[in-house]
Amino acid sequence: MKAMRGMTRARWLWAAVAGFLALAAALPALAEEAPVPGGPKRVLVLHSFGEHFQPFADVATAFRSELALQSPDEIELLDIALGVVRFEEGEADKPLVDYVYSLRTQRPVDLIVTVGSPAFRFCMRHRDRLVADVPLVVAGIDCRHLQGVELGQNITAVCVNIDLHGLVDDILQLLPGTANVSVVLGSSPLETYWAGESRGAWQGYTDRIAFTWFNGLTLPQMRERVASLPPHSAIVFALLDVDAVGVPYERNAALHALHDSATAPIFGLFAPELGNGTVGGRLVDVRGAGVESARVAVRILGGESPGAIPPVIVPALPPAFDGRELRRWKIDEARLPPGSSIRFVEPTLWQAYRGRIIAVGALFAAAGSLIVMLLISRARLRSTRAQLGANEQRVRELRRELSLADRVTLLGQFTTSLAHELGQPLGAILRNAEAAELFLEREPPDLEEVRAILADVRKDGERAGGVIDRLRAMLKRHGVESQMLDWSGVVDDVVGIARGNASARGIALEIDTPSDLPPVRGDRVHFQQVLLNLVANAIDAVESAPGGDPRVLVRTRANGNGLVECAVSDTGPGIAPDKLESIFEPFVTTREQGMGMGLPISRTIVETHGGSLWAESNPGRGATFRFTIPVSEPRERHA
Amino acid sequence: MPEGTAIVHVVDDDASFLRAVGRLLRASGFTVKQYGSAAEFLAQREDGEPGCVLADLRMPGMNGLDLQAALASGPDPLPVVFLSAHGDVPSTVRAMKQGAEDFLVKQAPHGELLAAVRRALERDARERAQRARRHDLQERLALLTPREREVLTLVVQGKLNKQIAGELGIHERTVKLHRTAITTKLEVRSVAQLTRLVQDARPFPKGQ
Repeated sequence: MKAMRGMTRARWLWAAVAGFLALAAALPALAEEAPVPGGPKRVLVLHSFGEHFQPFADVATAFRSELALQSPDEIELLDIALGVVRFEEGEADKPLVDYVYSLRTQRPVDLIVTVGSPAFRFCMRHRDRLVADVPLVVAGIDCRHLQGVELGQNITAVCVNIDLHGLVDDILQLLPGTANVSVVLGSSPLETYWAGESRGAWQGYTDRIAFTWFNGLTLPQMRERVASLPPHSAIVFALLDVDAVGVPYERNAALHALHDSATAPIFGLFAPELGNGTVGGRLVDVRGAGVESARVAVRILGGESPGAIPPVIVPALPPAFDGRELRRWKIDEARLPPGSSIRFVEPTLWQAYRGRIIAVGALFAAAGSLIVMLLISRARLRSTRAQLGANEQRVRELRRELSLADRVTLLGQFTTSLAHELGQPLGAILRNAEAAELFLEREPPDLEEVRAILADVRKDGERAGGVIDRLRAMLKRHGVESQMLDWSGVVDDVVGIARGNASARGIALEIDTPSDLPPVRGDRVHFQQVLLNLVANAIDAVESAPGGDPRVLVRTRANGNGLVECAVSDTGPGIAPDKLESIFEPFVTTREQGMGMGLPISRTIVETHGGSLWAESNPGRGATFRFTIPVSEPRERHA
Repeated sequence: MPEGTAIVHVVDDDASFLRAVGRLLRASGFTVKQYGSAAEFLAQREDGEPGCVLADLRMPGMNGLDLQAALASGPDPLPVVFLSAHGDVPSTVRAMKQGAEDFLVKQAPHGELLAAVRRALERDARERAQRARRHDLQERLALLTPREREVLTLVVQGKLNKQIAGELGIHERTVKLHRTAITTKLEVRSVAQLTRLVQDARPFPKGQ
């Protein structure tokens, strides 16, 4: 199966290489192709990062759909992502320029559009080769980037004005007590530019607000920071497309991650972020920027000269806010700037407007009631959807618990039948021995009876031995099916089962598993049984010895000798030194209901897997049961 | 020892354990009979014999719980002590609910096993005596005429002669005559004794 998959992959690779070679051979033939009159207009779109980085992705999307809508001609779009400029500008340009240039030459284009300032600057650096004879529309850019650039006859621009002052003014308007502002910025050249720009712009606020810039941090570090902000803090989510270690974040991934951990409201700059975790404000009309760019493009494709079209400045949108965020951060709606709209209002909030809706309904009775009905059904639909989501989640959880319960039941049945098979001969031996004592005490002793007893005892001893042999054989048979195991998964499963039980008795159940633990080898179900048995014993032990700090700890370490060692420690009464070994013998138990079978079975299982299981007394109080599991060989890991 | 003529019936499909426990009980002074299955025991036992049953819970065919149910619904029940190779909770609960005398694992300490058997035999003797007394009382109650039964029922309810007369539509003096007949037939002297007798004789004989 695996071999087959490998072969398929190799074949696919060869097909790709062959295809590439064929394409390379065909390119010169295309070189002479001229624009066909009446054919589609070709537009080359140069993206600054990938095609999915915000806010540029939304500019491009709006551009495409508006262009398709407005253009009288068919449009053929060629997209090129200049991904490399997110790392550094200039040095890696050459192959990219060659690529864009050759593409442009092979398939003559009618218009080039750059999305974002890095792509714009890239074109400007190689103006002679790339845009000397083709019109260029500069889109998705802040007007600041156009300062001091001579656009000439071939270039026009559609730009936005990011209002850095307005952003801080809005924050202070909504939350007048704000004393700390953390600025989330990535580490690409563009993001570094904005760090400098905002430092300058906010100079005048530094007597009221302490600013902290996050460029130079990784996203996880930023998450940690925003999780523990002092009171009177706000977060400005400026731009995070590439973090300090070069990890790119597409769409709203970084914003969502920060929103989950943030202990202060997040203010963004761009309209698409609203609804994804930012509070809102006077946001950049990203869609509008795309739409305007498309309109300009249509004009140029229609024959107008770019030089005759003055740069378009797309104004900011009227103030808009996310109702959920306002509620979450207890921002008074009265403080919102005039003309503000509140979006994403949840049903509980629309109930606040019910009075207004009913008033409208009194004037337009029929229409009004229809609106109310629609609103109610929408609210119902929404809550039903939310419930459905919650139910599905619960069903998934239950299903997971059930599959665990199934396994545990199986283990239980296995133990039960084993206990029964051993119980018969051992019970008979015990009863016979007691009878023999009584027969020997008689005057005269009944030796005939004692002899018969001894014969039976011997037979039963052999029977019990046979049961143990069968158990060994069975475990060995299972051992063949042993698989590579993620030990932390085994621990999590078992602790998941036992946690309810432990917390119901007021016992803390803790896990300590290092993240770099090597995989081990064995039968998952068997190890779950061993661990569950030890954890259950530990919980019982802790409960039987009331006192401070009732705790059970499952701690795993790689011991360096090709073994992983797992220790279950408790704060129970501990084990007497002379009992440390005997508890592993069958039918030795310290518990009222104990069968005394758990530990011997566990030891047999561990030993079958090539490990060992033993007990220790803790220095303070309680006991620790340790067992070892062989690490999976690296050779096997790649198999 | 109360075991005298009482018999401990040991039922177990495991021949070795059956022999072992039989030996131990005999050596401890009990009279023991051994059976390899529940069916074998039910076929061989004689009604009216005092004793108790020591039965394995898990047996092929009729298991211990089935045997207990069969005994309890018959005319001459015996207390059952269950033995199991291991304690499993649902069966234990069911056995105890059905009125098992005791429930022991096969490796239970010697003393516990003997004590359980002794308790079962004592319970059998006690219940046997109760059954005998009830039988005797019911025979005596059977001597009453239908009218005397009616009067008896009302007397036991604590009604006065006048009320009884009113309820049955007879003369108060007739009620007195019925009462004399009842106390003579049942050999009691007071209303208190009469009430106790009726309680002990429950279920009240049919024919009312």
